[in-house]
Amino acid sequence: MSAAPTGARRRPLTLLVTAAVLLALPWLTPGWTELLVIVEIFLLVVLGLDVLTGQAGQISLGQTLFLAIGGYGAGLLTVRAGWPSWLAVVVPALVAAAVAAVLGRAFLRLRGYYLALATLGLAVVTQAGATGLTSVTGGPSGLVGVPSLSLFGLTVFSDRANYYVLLVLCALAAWFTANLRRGQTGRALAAVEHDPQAAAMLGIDPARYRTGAFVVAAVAASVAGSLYAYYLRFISPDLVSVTVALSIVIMLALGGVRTVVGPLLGVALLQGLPLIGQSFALWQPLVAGLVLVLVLTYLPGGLWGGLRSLIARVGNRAAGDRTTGDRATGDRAETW
Amino acid sequence: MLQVLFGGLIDGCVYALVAVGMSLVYSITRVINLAQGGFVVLAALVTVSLQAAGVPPLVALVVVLVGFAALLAGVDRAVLRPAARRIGNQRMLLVTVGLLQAISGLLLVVWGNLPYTGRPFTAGRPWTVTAGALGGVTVQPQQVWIVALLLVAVLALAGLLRYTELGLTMRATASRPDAARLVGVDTDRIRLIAFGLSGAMAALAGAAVVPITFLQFDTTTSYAVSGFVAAVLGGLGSIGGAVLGGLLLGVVEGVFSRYTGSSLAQVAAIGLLIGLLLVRPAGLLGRAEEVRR
Repeated sequence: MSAAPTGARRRPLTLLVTAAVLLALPWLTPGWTELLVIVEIFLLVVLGLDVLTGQAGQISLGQTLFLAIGGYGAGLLTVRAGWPSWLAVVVPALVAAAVAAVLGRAFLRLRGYYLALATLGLAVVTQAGATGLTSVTGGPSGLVGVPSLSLFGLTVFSDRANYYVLLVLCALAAWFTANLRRGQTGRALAAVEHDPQAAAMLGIDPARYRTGAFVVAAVAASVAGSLYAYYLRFISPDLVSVTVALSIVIMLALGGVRTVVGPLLGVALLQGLPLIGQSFALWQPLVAGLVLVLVLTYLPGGLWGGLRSLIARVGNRAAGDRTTGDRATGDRAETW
Repeated sequence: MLQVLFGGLIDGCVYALVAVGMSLVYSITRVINLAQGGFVVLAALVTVSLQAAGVPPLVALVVVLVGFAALLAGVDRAVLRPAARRIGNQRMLLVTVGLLQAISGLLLVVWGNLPYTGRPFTAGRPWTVTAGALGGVTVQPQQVWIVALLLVAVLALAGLLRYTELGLTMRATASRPDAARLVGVDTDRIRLIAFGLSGAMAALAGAAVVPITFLQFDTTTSYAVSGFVAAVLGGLGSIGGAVLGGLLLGVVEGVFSRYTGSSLAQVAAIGLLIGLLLVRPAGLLGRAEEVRR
């Protein structure tokens, strides 16, 4: 055990290797860049949601609302109003933050199912609104002719360019959520998740922290939505349907909360599986559903949590040390 | 206008059947089974296939009814009970989302992505009822069947819960599971029965609605959402509330879709629901439980 490098000393090396692999990835896997971009977009959404679900313990089935605010916002502001594309990312994100702050105040008072239902309602409203408000959103066929993102005079058009822009955003989001988790705010959020009354007694206002987490999740989803629209060059109700809203939650639950790798695993699995083959695409919803049921039932930390505890168990057996067998199963068992 | 109200009422009857199944399971297990919407569409498509194989519609109804009661009891035994032993209620909601997705997936694999419709239970021409100045209503025989099935199912369920020994144990389990277990109630058996009954409700809803609409693999989500909304609207765990919530949801959607188109009608229905949740969180007939924190 003592021969192995400690976590603190191993960290910079791991980061360096990870960064190198991520930078080289589009060159290593030509032809897969499109998938990588989509994975990054949803990773951004799921990382944001992890702050709300993993850290503050609140479920939201309605993240597509913010995805739509970002996507349709960017589309409308660039197509109809001719705004510069970067500004058309920032403004919808601010709007999403404001909407989340208002909705959060009202919704996050509700308990478990009622919160789930209210947010599911948001997902239904989003899909119906995007379809029904034909004059604004373009109806079922969507909004076409959205320009690409341009930054500092450069147009982000190719798959690779999109990949690198999103890589920066995902890295920022990962860094932000990881720091949040370890910092004082993260501890406050965890306290709110575990026992709101006890947290309130310690001077932590549960409503404020929950709303804050909701706002973070909303901003991440909105930015992801804008970039989704810029990448695909259109936005339609299919991209913000109730099914997408549910699959965002499935990605998080599948991979495991309170990590960065967990969401990545969940997103990659759900987005990547249909690409294995044409015949498999037919089976994908069935398999994904069954896998979700099994993972939720038997792996409380998600796939990544399960994988980590497996690695830890094998490692401990090799080291002949059984007493710390359960230390690495994640920060703790999930309570939500 | 009368026709619009009537159409909404019929849709509402179907939502009510879905919601009653969800509400019943919720009262015993405290789990919202979103997969109920999936089982409704599954039952509908099984009915269509049975009819296509030459089984008379009413015989098919009975077959599906019995089959789905057994199927849901089996699903509870194999999937939901083991899961509920290990995880909390919020994660259970996600388990039922997973189940819902798996059922949609199954439908896609077996029936493909085409919409299906079925034959009505009894042949016959629609007839028109006039109500003076309000105008006339055209009624199809199948719509009468839907109303009748809802009435029979709800009355039978209410009778079962109120007047039988089994109903008494079920109500006891719903209000105090631990106390019920202490006095010797086999709560696992009660669970199984509740799921069986909700399976029968799903079968009724699916088999009854499929002759007057088109269903395919991705309509599962909308039935799950409508049923959930109706159940909460009326107050979770209350059978009468679920019926009332379903009818109300159907009528509101029907009236709005007449003036705004069907997708904005959904927005109106959800707006109504969210407003109600914030003002009267326990639902219309629900008792004030711990809804808020």
